Parts: sequence; C-alpha cells; structure tokens
Amino acid sequence: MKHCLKVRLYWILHYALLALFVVFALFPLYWLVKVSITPNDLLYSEGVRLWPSHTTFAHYVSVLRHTAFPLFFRNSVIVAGATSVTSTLIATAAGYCFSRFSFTGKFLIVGVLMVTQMFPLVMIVAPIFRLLSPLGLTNSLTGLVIVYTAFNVPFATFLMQSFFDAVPRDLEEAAMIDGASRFRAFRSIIVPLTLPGLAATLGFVFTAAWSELLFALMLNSSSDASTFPVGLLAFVSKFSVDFGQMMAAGVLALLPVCAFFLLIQRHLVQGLTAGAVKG
Amino acid sequence: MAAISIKGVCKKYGTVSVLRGIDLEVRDGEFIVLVGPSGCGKSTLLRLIAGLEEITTGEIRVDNRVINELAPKERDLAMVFQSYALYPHMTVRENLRFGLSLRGIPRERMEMLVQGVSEKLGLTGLLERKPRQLSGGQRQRVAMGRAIVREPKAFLFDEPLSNLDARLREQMRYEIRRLYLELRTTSIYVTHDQVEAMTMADRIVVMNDGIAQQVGPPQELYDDPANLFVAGFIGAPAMNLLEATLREDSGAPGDVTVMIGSEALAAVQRPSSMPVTGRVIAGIRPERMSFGADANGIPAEVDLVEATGIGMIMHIKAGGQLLKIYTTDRIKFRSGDRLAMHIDPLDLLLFDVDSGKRLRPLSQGAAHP
Amino acid sequence: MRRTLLWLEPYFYAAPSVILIGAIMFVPLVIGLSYAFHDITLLDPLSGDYVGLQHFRELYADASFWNALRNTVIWTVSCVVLQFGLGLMLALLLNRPFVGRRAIQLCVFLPWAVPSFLSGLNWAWLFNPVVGPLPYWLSALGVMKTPDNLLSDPDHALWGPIIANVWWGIPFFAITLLAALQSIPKDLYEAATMDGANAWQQFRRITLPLLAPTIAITVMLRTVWIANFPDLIVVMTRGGPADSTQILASYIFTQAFQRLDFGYASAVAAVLLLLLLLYALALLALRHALAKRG
Repeated sequence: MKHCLKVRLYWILHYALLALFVVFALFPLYWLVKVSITPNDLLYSEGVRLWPSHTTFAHYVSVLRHTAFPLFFRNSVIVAGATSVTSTLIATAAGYCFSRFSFTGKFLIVGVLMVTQMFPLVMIVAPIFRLLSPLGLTNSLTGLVIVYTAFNVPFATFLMQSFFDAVPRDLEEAAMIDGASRFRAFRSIIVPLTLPGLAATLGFVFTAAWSELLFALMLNSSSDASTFPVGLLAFVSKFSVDFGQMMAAGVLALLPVCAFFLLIQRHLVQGLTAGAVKG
Repeated sequence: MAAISIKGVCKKYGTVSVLRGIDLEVRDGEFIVLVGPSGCGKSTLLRLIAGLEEITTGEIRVDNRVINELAPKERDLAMVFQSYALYPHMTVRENLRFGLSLRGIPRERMEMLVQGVSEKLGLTGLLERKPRQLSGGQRQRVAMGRAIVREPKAFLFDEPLSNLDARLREQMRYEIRRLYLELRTTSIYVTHDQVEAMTMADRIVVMNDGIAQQVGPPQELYDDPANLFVAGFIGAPAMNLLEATLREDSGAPGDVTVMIGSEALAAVQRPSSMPVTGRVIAGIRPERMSFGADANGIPAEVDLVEATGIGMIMHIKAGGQLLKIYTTDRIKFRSGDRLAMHIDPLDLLLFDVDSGKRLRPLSQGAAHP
Repeated sequence: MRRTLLWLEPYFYAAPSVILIGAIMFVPLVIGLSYAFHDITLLDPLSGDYVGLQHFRELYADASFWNALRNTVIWTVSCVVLQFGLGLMLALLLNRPFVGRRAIQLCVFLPWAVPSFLSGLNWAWLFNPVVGPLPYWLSALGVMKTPDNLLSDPDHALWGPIIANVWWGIPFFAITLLAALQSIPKDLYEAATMDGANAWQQFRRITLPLLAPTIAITVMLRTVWIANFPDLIVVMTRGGPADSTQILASYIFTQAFQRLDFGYASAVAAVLLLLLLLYALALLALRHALAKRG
C-alpha cells in the first residue's frame, strides 16, 4: 500500500517535471507564432494575453509582399541547399575513406578534422574576409557556400563515417567477388543502405548553414546577397517597432529547419555523438 | 573449374606476419579444407585468394594464370561468408541475380539460371522475400545459391556454418558435401571445427601460426600426424599427450621402453633420431586404449567419468598424469576406482619435446622423412 | 601499377575535404595569428606594418578586454552548468519508458533545431516589455521591481543571452546523455536492486561512474564551444548596454566588424585561443593525475 503510494507520487513528480521542460521548450516558439498572428492594434492592449481575441495573417502577407524577405529566403535556400549538397558529397568520400581504408596519415587527418570541431571560428572571420575579398567572393553566395562547406565537412564526415561503419564490410566484399568494381559496390550496395544516413547528413548541414549569422554578416554586406539571418537582424535594427512583421519573418525562417528536424530527429543521437561538439 | 596453385605466399600487416610462406596445390575439382585455431591465418589465406587483401610476397595462380594483381571481380571466384553477406535491401531473387547482371548475362538466361539454382536449393518459394524474413538455414542456402548460380571457377567458404546451431550445422554440412559431389567445383573451405574438416574434405590443410602444419587426406592426418600440433588439434576427444622418457633396457635390440613417471607404458621401436635427454611426448588416442580391473597392465585411478550417450569418457590418473580413455562399452567405474590400462605399442606416437616433430621408428623413418 | 593505384585510392577520397579545410580553416588561422602582430585596418591603405607586441600592450591596458574576459568566464560557466544540470535531469526523466515518451521527446528536443540567431531574437522579444510577457511575470513574482527590459539593465543583462543559450543547448546534453544512459546494461540495475541498493545509491554507484566518460568529453568540448560562441550576444545585446554583456568572442567580432580593426581583433582572438589551449591542457593534466591516483 505504502509502496503503491510512493510509486504514484514518483510518477506525478515525473510528469510534472517533464511538463515544466515541455513548457520551457515550447513557450518561446508559441509566443513567436502568437505575436505573428496578432493584429497590430491588439499588440499593446493585449500584450500578456495568452491568445489574442482575434487573429490575422496580415503580417505574413506584408512580409511576403513589401519586404526583401522573399529574396533573403531565396538566398538562404540557395546557400543552405548548395552547402548541404557539396558538404555531403565531400563528406561521403572522406567518411567512406575513414570507414573502409587504413592508410598512412589517417590518424593525422582524423586528428586535424577533430581539432576543427573545437575551432574558434571568430578567430578566422577577419582573415577569411581578406582572403575572399580580392577573389570577388564577398557579397557573393558562392563565397558563403565555400566557407560553410569547409565548416561543415568535418562534422558531416564523422557522421557519414558512423553510417558507413554500420554497414558490414562483408556486403561490399561479396559484391566485389560477385563482379562489381569498388565504385559499383558502393553505388549498388552501400548507398541504398545508407540512404537514411545521407538524408540525415543533408539535414544537419542544411540546418547549420541556414542558421549561420556571423560570416554571412561579415562577408555579405549588400542586401542582394544577404541571407535570412542577416536580413532579419538588419530589419530588427532598422524597424524595431513592427513586431508582428518581424515575428512573422521569424516563423518563416523556422519552417524549413523544423521540417528537417522532423525528418532527421531519428538520427539526432548519432548526429550529436558523431560530432559531440557542434550545435 | 580450375586448379589453384599457391607458392610461397606471405602476408604481413605492418611488421606482423600472418602468413609465413604457404605452398599448396589445389587440384581441379578438389575439396580442400583449411582448419586451425583462430588467428592461424586460414581466413587471411582465403581472402588473398579472393583478392580482398594484397599479397605481400609469393604468388597465386588459377589455371596457371597469376592472379596476384587482379581485382576480385576479375578472378571469377565465388565466396560464401560467415555472415552470409546477403544484400539486405534486395530480395532473394535480386541477390541471386546481382552477380549475373554485372556480367551482362541476358535476362532470359538469367531467369533460367536463378530458377535452376533455386530448385536445386529449395528456394523457389522464397524468391520474393528479403533476407531478414529468412531463417538462418534459409539464408545459408541463399548464400550458397548466390555462389553457385554464377558457375565460378572455384568456391571459397569462410566458416559458413559457424552461425548455425548444432543440428542445422550437421544438416548443412551434408548438403554442401552433396552439392559438391554433384558439381565437382574446386572448393576451398575454411573452418575452425575439425569435425567439419574431417567429414567434408578431400584433403585437409592444418594451419597454425601462419604455417601449413600438414596437408593430407583426413584419415591420414588422424592416424599419422606430422607433429604435436596436428596430433592435438585433430580428433575429439583430443589425443592424450604425455610427458614420457625413453629407457634403453627393454631387452630386445632396437627397442626402447616408454616410461611415464615410474610406470612403463610400452616397448616400441627405437626412433630414428633419439633425443639426447631421452625426454619425449608420447601420444595415444583415447579410443585406442583398453582397460580392465585385472592386475596386469599399467595401474591407474579413475578421476571422473563423463557419459556422452554414445560412449564414456573416463578421466584417469596414471604415472602422475591425467589422461582420457574413450569407450563405447557400458562401464561401471566410478571416481576413485582403480584399474589397469593396456596399450598396443603400434598406437603409441612419439614427438620431440622441443620441436614438436614426430619421432618415427628407424624402419619407418626412411619411408616418411 | 595496380598496387600504386590501390595505395593512392584512400588519399584520393580524403583529398577534397583535407584541401578545403586546410585552405578555409588552417591557412586563415595562421594568417589570423600573424595579423595579431600587424597593424591591419580595413579601408586604411596605410595600414599593414609590423607592430610587434603593440596590440598586446594595448590589450593589457584595455578595460573592455578585462571586462570581456570576466564576462566570458561567467557566461561559459553558467551556461555549461545550467545546460548540463538540466540536460542530465531531462535525460534521466526520458530514460524510463512511459506513455507519450516519443511525443514529449520530440517537443523538448525541438529548440535544438531553432537557428541560434532566431532563438536569440525570440528571447530578446520575450524580454521586451512591449511584446514579451516575461517582464510582467518577473515583476509579478517580485523578481523585478518594475516590468523593464532585462537586456537594458547593465547589472543583469548577461542573464538574457545565458537563458537563451540554456534553452537552446539543453537538448544537446539531454540527447548525448540519454544515449549513454541507454547503453548501460539493465542487468547492472537488476543486480544492484538484488543487492539492496536504493534509487539514489544506484545513481551514485552505477549511473554516474558509467556516465563519467561521456560527461567528461561533452562538458569539455561544450565549454570550449560555448566560450567561442558569440551569436546570441551579438543578436540580443551587441555587447551592450555599456559593454556589460561583452564576452571575448563577441568583442573580437565587434572589433573586426564594426571598427574594422582586424589587427586588434586578431590579438584578442590569439589570447582567447591561448586561454582555451591552456584550459584543455589543464584538463588533460588533471585527467592524467587522476588516472595515476586511480
């Protein structure tokens, strides 16, 4: 009887604590959505109400119609998309190499890649600007893609390596004895088996590239080549009164990464332990 | 089908030697079993033949053509893996077809071959299943099928039965042997299980420490082992190996007495090379020893009796050493009972203490160097 | 011929990543270190001279630098401690099977997917009395006297970015620790229960020791990472008000981005790098000492 009560109390506490965590995690996002659909005239009068008395999509319409956000959005999609594809390609080659070969210098190369995971990126903001500027790669989406790809390749490599490690070597050897070249075995056997992993890597890199702010801010000052984070930050510093529009833009920035999150959340553990460092 | 010739093959990983000079002639259509403890190099040798690892020195020929430099796909061999290595994302049919399609075989012929093989192996009803929907024995058959369907020059088996339970293993052993007798394709089979080696092989290669210890037909290895390692490895229960001394006082000229402790085991012909110290290892198979409750013979004490169903293994102590006797008689001895052993001198094999080499009698020594 | 090709094969696969990382990360690092000893100001054609240790002397006399250094310590320690503590708690809560675990897991891990700049902006808005509820709630609870913006209070503004970072970083610790927790064999707990250990003893004697390697590596790496992470501060306060939220990482960025003084920024960065190296070496030495004692 006493035991029963204790178990009951434990579960009440368990769920109560979890509820706190859920509220803490979701409330800021909830508020973002709430303000984005609150009409301007209710914003101040109903400031702390949990739900406005009536809602509107006017902020979204004006963000899409009257601001440069569609351009920023497009730029971000291009940069994040190109970065995720190139990073995943390069990381696939390197990850396969680390997973399947042992060679002189492997330890050194892996070590170098690990070090980059602890790298203070602020340290290289200035030199990168000076290096890319004469090459015409500042104020350019290509420049950002190159830089982001370099930043994301180490992490993506470790991630891909962990996916390749999970595919038994026997399968590939069986294919090679069956008459396949290494590349054919890779294409017909390894790729189909690591497809979910490839998708997860794409997602991780896309999210990271989508979220990057400092280098985008430093390298691309012209608004033609601004990414979403830069645009949003500029908007905040210039027109910091139109909260409805800002938050509507924020929700728009959140959508692609949330979609990726749902897609890759099954691989989160592998991803975070492979990098164990990157956010 | 093909003959495989292996000459002076060595394999090193960095400074570690895994294979230290292997010579082996596999005849066309022969079933060879490589057997040895784990780490003896048997799987490495198989992988060198398959082309999955690089040969450090030496050469391998298939049908008189050196294949050292050929990629696995150019060697036209088939391999059955311990893990089966079935492609998990393909159905059984696609697994069987994969190797054929890589060779550009026309679709109709491909279907015919797949059909033939699946009938032979009883896979007809399973063709549309994925490997994970199959039992262990079925996977094993698909792996076999994938090897057979291509009609390769030779089959390589890498411990194919070690993931199966005892009963299934016995059955698959039989099926593989049957299939071989039907196809007569050159086969090289790696196992650590000496029963598999004995039952399946035309010839066995016993390997240890990267060296082929002895090559020969199963019965020859059993009856006439070349050294201590082969004597101890082949046979279950294992051969009794006793520390013994040779004493030259047996009366008959050219004979010596084999002693364990203070007990005389038997008088045997003097070996061609007599060890200086007189110390040797004396080997005798557990089933070649007889015993009785009488007083004539070597006195011994029963330590423990194990019943295996078919027979009994008696652990006994004699001359201060432990040994085993195997018998199919229904015996009534118990721990602590005393008995007397009898040994036929012809069943007693002598080995050099240091080199482990067999010490053969003078007359025999000439015939078997 | 085939041998040479086979020998070269792995290098061929690894080359693109090595070249890219070398060119975009290690070359700039070396250049950045050399900037620390040069007068490099963008848009100033006369700059570029070797100035020796001048930047470091300036830095020694720069009150903002010492302030940023102090803030870096506060920022890093409080973020790591809070993220780790709450992350461990969450992982322990999620480690038992219960109804709705998958859905709850999805919800509490969601902040990880939010871009850092957006989580910064979002929390800045929440602290803003014009649109955010937090000032009212805090003053209702008596934490604040009047519903003001926390971020404009020089004494407490650093807590804004800290809270945003904790919110954003809890999932990282929760996910890695949860994975480690789930790899602990269940029979260890069963054996401990048989031996009569209560829940706390089980946690102390089994969970913590087996989690220790994961904890050590994640805490160490996260510490370095958080110390290097200026985004939230740049977004939420730009180091203000009056440099009260400036950490070294954001100070470097402001020097480079706003004052375009690449030389001075690189000198600060060199100091930060040196401090982090010392930190890593100290940890390694500590581990070595502990391993010797154990």
